[in-house]
Amino acid sequence: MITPESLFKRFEQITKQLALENLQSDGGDSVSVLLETDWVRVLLLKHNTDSRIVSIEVESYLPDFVEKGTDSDSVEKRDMVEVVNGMIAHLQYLLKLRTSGFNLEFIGPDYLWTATRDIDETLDLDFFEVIIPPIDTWSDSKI
Amino acid sequence: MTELIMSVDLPESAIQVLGFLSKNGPTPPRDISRKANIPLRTVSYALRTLMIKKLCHKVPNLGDMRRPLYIADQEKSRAIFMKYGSIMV
Repeated sequence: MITPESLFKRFEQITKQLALENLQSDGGDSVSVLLETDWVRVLLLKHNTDSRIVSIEVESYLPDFVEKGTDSDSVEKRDMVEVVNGMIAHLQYLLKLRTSGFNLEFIGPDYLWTATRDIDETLDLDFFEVIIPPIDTWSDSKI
Repeated sequence: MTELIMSVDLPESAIQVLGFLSKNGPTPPRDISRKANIPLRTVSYALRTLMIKKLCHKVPNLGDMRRPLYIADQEKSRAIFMKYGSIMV
């Protein structure tokens, strides 16, 4: 289960790593995955043109098992109610992010949303509580 | 055509996405984002830019009509990479 504390810890690890990379390289923007579930990917972006940490970008999409609707292990074999409830929960999650200062953008026809916020202040645990997705199957293998 | 291409200005993200498409072939935006480690919003913006400049085009994905594929124009891509240098992702 994802907790605000675990997210905060990972955020600190990534920002330290980004600071080191910034010293060692004059390359382009840095992108790191803060967390990823079947429904959501949260990225940390550090812009090369601005040394301030960072932008947080939340990407919300349909899980692969819904998109691959004709495959053998597709949504047809899953509980449709589970999928609809997942969509509702994630739309509410996007609204919650908007209330917390994120800008929402609709990206594409296959249910792709992003929520973006620039971070130029010290973050507290309340912030990390807000970005925890409603279905928080933490997948270490994807990080 | 090379002269025309030489006058095209592209942001770095568009060059990265064009490099990915040139190397990997037709790909939907979400897969570009994941495999090239580029945020989805950036990929979307880059693809719009490449489409406007006719450096890539969109085709239906017969395997999943909700996820169109984007294809780089290989000849124009080569000219672009002559100008900017190769940034293959």
